[in-house]
Amino acid sequence: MNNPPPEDTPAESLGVPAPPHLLRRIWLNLRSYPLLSVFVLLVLLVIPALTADWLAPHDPTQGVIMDRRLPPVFFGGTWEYPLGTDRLGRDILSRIMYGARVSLSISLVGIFVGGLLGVTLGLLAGYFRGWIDTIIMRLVEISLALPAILLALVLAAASGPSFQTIIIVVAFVLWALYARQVRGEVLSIRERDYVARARVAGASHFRIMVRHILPNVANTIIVLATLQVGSVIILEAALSFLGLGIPRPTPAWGMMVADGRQLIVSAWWISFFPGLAITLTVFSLNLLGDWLRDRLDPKLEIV
Amino acid sequence: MDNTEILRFEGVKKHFPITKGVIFSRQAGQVHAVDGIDLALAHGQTLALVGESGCGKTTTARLALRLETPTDGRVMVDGEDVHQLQGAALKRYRTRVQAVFQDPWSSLNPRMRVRDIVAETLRVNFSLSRSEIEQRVAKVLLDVGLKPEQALNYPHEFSGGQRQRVAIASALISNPKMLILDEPVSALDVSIRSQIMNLLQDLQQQYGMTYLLVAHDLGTTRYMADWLAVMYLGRIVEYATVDSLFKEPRNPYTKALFSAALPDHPDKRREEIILTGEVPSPIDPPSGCSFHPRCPLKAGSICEQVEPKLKLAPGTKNHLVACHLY
Amino acid sequence: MAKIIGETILQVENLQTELHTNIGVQRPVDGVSLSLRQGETLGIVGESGCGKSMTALSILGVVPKPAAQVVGGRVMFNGQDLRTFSEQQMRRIRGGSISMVLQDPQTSLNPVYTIGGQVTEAIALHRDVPRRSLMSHAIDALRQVRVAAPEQRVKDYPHQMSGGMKQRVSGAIAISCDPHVLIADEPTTALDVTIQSQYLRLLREIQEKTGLSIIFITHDFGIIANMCDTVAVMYAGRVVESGPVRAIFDEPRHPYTRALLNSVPTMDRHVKRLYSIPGQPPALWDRPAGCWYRNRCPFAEPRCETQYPPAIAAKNTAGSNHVANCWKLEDSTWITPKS
Repeated sequence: MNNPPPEDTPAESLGVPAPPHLLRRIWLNLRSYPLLSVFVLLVLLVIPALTADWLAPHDPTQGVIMDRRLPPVFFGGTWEYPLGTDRLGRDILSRIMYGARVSLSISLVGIFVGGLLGVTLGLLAGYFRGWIDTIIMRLVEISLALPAILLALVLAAASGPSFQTIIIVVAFVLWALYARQVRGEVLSIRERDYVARARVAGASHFRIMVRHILPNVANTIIVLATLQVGSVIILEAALSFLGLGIPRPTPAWGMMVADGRQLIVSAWWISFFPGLAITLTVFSLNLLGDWLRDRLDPKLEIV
Repeated sequence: MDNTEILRFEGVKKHFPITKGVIFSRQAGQVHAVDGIDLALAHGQTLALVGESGCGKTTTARLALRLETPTDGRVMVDGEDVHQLQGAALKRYRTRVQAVFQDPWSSLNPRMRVRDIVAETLRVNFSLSRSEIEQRVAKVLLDVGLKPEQALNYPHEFSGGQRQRVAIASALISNPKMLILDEPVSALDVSIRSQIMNLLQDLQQQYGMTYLLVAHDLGTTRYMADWLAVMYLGRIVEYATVDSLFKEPRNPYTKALFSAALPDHPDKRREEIILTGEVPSPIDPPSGCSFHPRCPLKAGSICEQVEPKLKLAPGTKNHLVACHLY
Repeated sequence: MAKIIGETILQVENLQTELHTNIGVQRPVDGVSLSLRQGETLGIVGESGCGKSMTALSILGVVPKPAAQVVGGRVMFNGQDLRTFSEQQMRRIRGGSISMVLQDPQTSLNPVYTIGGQVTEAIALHRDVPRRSLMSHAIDALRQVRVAAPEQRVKDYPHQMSGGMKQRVSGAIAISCDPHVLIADEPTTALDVTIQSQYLRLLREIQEKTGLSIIFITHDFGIIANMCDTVAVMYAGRVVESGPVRAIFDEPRHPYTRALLNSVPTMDRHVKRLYSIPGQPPALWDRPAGCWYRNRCPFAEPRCETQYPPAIAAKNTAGSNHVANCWKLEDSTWITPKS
């Protein structure tokens, strides 16, 4: 009597598409198998960030003067420095591994701070509407109108570049996106009958927001956060590139790209490998985010 | 069953403001969703509110549920103004009055298990032990024809009819005296509708509940209700027992509404009363009797000037009608 | 009724439509046969998921591709099988000789074009009308569906109209090319009763004037009683009973038809207890062996579990026009008991 379709069969998406074009098929495969993305992320980001202290072959900040600008292995270099060295003789592989730690911690902390702020304000704005909504949404618009780089410049000028400065900039750039997205969903969810039922049951505003509304926007938040790790890494890279990021000599991917830019013709590897790391990481994160969205999007869910 | 009153509306109005402007909003008008309603309902009875979309029947139900605050007037449950309730009295009201909504797909939180959905009213209002809650959930699930083991399932694992049973179970758990049923079957399939209607009938018998039913389908109201209130543009235009109303509707709007209903047999195609135009906007309802611009039986200029009050139709004991013809 | 019913204009024979899903191939339409005469209204009635809308889409060859595909049967229209037509030929048929009105007036009109623009587009596609007189044809079509002051309304956008008015505009588009057959898929479900009855009356008037044949898809027996000459009751992708409307109402032979009729409350008399069919229709991927209704049928016998019943003629005044797929009809005295 009770025969719902298997969980992974959204009623709307029943049906197999015709055999797609080869490129499209590769793309679809990439999207439907997140394992590759997860693997790239683990290898490039998570494992190096956690284990750089033990696995990195060299000290990322101390160069060997004699070994400046050595090319990578297979390009005339040796296994001593697999990805070559920079102009201070520092091992690029080790610097990328330590840089992963910077990228990961900035992304996680920044997204957490920005997300917490944005989700809370978006929830309040969407749930209570009225003047609360008006104020919060005006703040969102102001925040989205301010260029992040300008803010970073001001903050860095005031207190000097530091980890905290970057977190503040990242949180400032991100919260408004969360607030706007969450508010939009809350506006529609609060009109659902299950929210009305909770009010009839006598549930408090807090209980309704936390138990009935928040779990139903959780998917959106997770997807948004995943997609944003990539943009935070790019933002951090841009800030570091401009010298507004993590103070030297701590390695950060963006700063490494910046450092190599004058030598791009003679010692291309100094910029290339950190650039490649950024590209692969962000690409994988976007794939993972798209996959998560397909899996978790409440609109694709069987209702 | 006692005959004392459980629900009373006294001159209840609900006007929704329409605002214009983005930054500096100002009020541009009002939607007269409910425009002066008086009604009373005795314990154990079923009152159906019928009318076309925009007539204010759903807003009336939401006012009784405290989901809307009246602009004017009072809604009384067991002699207490529900919009003034606080503390323990409010909790008592919350457990005494429960609701079942139209759409079983949107009335259950997709992220909660049936057990938690059903137990919500208990959790919010009482501190009961886990086993007590589980016992009561199991009991109401059996009451509505589900299995106690299904308490651990999520809503998407159920069909529409079963989901509506879950919604009914969650309304029943606090042993309510009154259920507000907002189109409880109209989103369901034909063969499932009668299952749910019969279930609601049985539960009313078993627990002596009072029902306030919002419905647009006249057949459903005839089957379910004892009393019928016909609404047009936020007002009750006729109010009587179901038998009396269906036997002899008095108000010209009721007559037109009934004549538009679909027949139950090809040989009974009705002589239809043709209404001109569409329902006027509730932002700026017509003066006097709000039905006068479309009324085929208009009594005269009095209809345009004076709002008719509900009064006893001649020759009846409890058939109220708001029309200058009577 | 002042209505002349002519020769058969549309004959659907054993239509089959498959749906490819990730849990296998399913058949939402599994051998549907229908027959429609000129000037006649055929009602297809059934619950959601019974395949009634998919049948309509299959007739017009507009099933959602590539997931769905019409795989068998014939659709004979004026003596030609539409299934052999090319996509280009079908495009000329759709909206021309056979047109369709959909359930939701909110989505069947394009919000960014004016009413006039949408009606003239339909006319320009299917009729050989000089460009200059397109608008006057559109105004005529709107006048035919009783849109007040059509000369002004053609400049309006859909959002400026009420639901009932929009549904009339959809109707105007559908009849603007003088179709022979109109397929109406629950066009009044989203409308209020009084608006619905206006709309149904309008369709009947147009039919009387033009001799249009209508296929009316609905879940509501009230609409069937109000509108239709013949009825096909669908269950789980098949027609289980079909016949003249009075025969279906007075002498339903299939237990499902009888049960449906008995489970709908009426405003005309008080019913003590409605019949309710136990359980729910089988899922497409979970049809039982034998008769697909047997799990819910109070009259099921052992043979119902093994063999799907063929269409058997009801031995009544309707003669061979009234058939039902139930083994019980082999017993010539079988009348579905009032439950």
